[in-house]
Amino acid sequence: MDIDILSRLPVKSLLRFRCVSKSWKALISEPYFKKKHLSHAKNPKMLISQYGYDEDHTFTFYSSSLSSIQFVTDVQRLDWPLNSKPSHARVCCCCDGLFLVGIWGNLEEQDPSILLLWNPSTRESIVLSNSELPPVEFSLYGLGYDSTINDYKVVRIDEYIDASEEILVLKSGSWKKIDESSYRSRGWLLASRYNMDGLAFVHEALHWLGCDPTDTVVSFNISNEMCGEIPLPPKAHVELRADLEKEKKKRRSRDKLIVCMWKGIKKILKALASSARTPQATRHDLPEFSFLNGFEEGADDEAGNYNSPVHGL
Amino acid sequence: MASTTETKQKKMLILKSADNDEFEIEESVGVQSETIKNLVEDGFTFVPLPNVYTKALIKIIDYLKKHANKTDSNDEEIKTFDKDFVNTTFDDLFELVSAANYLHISCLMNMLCQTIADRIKDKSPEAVRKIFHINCDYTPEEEAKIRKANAQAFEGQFDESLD
Repeated sequence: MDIDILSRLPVKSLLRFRCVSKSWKALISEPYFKKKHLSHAKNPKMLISQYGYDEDHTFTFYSSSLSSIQFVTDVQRLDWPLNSKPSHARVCCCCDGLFLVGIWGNLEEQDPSILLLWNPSTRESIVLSNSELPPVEFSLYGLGYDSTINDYKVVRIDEYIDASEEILVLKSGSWKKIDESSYRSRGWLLASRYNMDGLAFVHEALHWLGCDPTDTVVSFNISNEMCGEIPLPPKAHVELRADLEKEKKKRRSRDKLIVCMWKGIKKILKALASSARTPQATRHDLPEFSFLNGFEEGADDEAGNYNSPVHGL
Repeated sequence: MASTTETKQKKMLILKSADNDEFEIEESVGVQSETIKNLVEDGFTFVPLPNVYTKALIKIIDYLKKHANKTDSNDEEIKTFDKDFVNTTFDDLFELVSAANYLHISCLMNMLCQTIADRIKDKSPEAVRKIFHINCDYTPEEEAKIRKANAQAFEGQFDESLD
């Protein structure tokens, strides 16, 4: 019975109530409890990260409830892992309020030197092991929850033809290469600028844009690690993102994958997973920010991308 | 105890509380409880509820009657009813949660648990212990250690009241 009450509390209250009694602390730490708590989380938050190029190299997050008028409700600073001297950091992707943060020791390097999985609500973080594959020009990361093994998985895909695709299962702690035949025929990852900074996680699958032989959305099932394909209309310039609205909807079955298409300057939005145009899609018209896995919209130069990305929590 | 005479045709059920009081209600009202529904489907019309005391059962029957008559037009009325329903002491709420849990009435369970959560979320651990009648089984050293590890959750002032 306690579990039904406690699973409806905010994280901050739960951290405090760990010291109520030993049995409460044990209950709050149970994986089953965490899952139930997540299922009750109904107020999506927006998270804005700001990287300060000062001496401390601070990486600050401002979170805000989407329903309240007050903008910034909580400010969190990312605690750097010991012995790291970051010159840059950014959020690679997020899922269920967990954030994969890439930390660069040297801005010249393509791959982040440290990958950190961070829970801003509890301020807990773990450093992920490094991939053994050589760094490439550009990689994209995705974070998704595999309900069949009750664990999160991190997926890295690389941009160019001789590149590969890897997956890290968190509890196992090591990377493995994904069977090439499952994805190679689906086309290469379309150049980074057309994909968002992370792989969109919808309906238990990560999604990205492939470009060979024709533009297509590649879906990667997080459980069986197989690829599928969603064809696109011809000659559309596309950008991919998960729909922020999925957090607000009660039924998961209503999740939609939204693909934004550019035709010249005019943006045409289409929800692939449903036949209807979604009114939520108009939020992409906001000039300053993009949502969930997105960076600032309209920032064409690479340097301009890194200031204030907005992420769904 | 209570009995309705106006409609003999309606299927009726008798609920018996833990303190042996009997209540007659319409089957259509009772089956909002999964537990009662299962018994009705097995042909029972007399339902003993050894875990539900009379005080809680009276309130729950009120709730079921109100919610059985839900229409598009009385939405506001039901909201007001619900608000009054949960406006009670923590001990009453716990009693009701236990009954709603046993009877498997999920909408009531949701409402009660959310109410309790909302009322305790800003409280201190000491106040929560008193409200839940929990004895602290930590040594002072152990408790200090946990407080230190979760220092950010202890920033600010907390509500020490017990209501």
